[in-house]
Amino acid sequence: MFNGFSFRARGGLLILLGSALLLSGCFSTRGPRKTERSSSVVNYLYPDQANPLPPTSIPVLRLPLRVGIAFVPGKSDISEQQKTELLERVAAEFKGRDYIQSIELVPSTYLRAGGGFANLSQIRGLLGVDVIALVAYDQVQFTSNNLLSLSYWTIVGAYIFSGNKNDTQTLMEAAVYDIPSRHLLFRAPGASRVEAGSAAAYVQQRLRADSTAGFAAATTELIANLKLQLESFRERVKNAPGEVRIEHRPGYTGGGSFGAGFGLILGLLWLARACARPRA
Amino acid sequence: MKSPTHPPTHAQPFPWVSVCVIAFTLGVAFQPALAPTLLYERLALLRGEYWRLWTGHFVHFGSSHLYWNLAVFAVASIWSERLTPGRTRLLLVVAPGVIGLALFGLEPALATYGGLSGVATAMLVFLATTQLARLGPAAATSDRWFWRAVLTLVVLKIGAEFALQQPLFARFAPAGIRAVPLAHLSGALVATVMHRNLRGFRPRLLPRRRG
Repeated sequence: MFNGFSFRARGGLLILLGSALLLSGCFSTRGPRKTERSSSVVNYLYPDQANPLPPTSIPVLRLPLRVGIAFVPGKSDISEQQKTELLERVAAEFKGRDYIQSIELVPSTYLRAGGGFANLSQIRGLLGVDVIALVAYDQVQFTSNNLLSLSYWTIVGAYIFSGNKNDTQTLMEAAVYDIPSRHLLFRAPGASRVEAGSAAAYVQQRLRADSTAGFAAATTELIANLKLQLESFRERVKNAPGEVRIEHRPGYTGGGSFGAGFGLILGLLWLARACARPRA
Repeated sequence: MKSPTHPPTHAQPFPWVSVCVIAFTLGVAFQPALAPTLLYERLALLRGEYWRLWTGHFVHFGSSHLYWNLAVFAVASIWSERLTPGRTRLLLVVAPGVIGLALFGLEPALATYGGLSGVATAMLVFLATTQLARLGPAAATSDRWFWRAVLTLVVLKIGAEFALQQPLFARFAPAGIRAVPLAHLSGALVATVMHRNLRGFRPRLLPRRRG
């Protein structure tokens, strides 16, 4: 094969070929890879309990509510900054409702793995929240190669051609618990799927971006579902008052108010009167 | 054809008490530093700061809360004071205190209260009942119908607020503030009592009617 080359040229070609093989190995033409990060409300609340006992007391909600919101601890955790941004988005959607006094973002450092209701009671004492929304997630990322990955053999191709196909599937779930009674009040899911291609050299970078986009999209769906579930919960409370007891917190602030609607109806009545009056 | 209602035979007096109340309410709104001293606060009342029973009504929790309360109050109170100055002025002095006392006695969970709507309800009910009483047999049907509709609207609003435990037409800008329908109910009751029992009331300071 190398008959036409000198000994030195042959040696040089072999070194070049070897280096190319070695480098292309770095850009991975292996089979599909999977990365997973997840947390579980069940594992957090009921560690080592196969058959947890159902709560016996009726939840008593004292309005306006002081609500906490937190990510339950998980494995391969996402960054604290990212968690805070996601929780802030959820909290912003529910602030300003007259039955919610405050929404506290609970830092991850306040929750310990498998802490259960004992841990939640500590948070309740520390932050003064009665109801907590526990957010869990499950994100799986797959990376596989397509035909373009053959260009990775050229080394330069690993920087240019999108030979990797990334698939990011995210599921988030918020479970809202009344801490004193340990009752699950309602829950809502949010899911997303992000598909993207990338060159081998940028796979990790792309996966991180997909992960962030996946959480953002799942949070959007989670917020929409939480709103629906909250309305459904309010209806349930109205229709079945025995299920949840509603009390007003002693020492509430009250105000008397008319409002645009009342003014409008009065104005319409006045107009109707003016029109119906006999003219001189 | 002239209006079937009977216009007063004397010149209608300037509604100075209503104007003073409106000016005071606006003054409190533009001087928020006054609010903590004037707001209805149960603990402060228990300490003996009884003026809060009256002054709490003039403190508001936001511009929307202020403007709509003031709009209804201004129309009802000025109109009413021009029609029956003596009783309206008495009502303007008595109603805030009675509403404050009702809240203090019947709503012990209420820690803080603000808003003119209780007094505005009193003025609206008083105006409507006074107008209905003044309308003669020849009065236009639309006039009777209008004042009855106003009274019905007030009653429905109070009933719905008691039933729903939330304001019917208004939203408070700060979170966690609840509507207190008891303030509206007590305002309506004090106005009705004033209308029914003090028809002949006329303070000596006011000029006598002629004709």
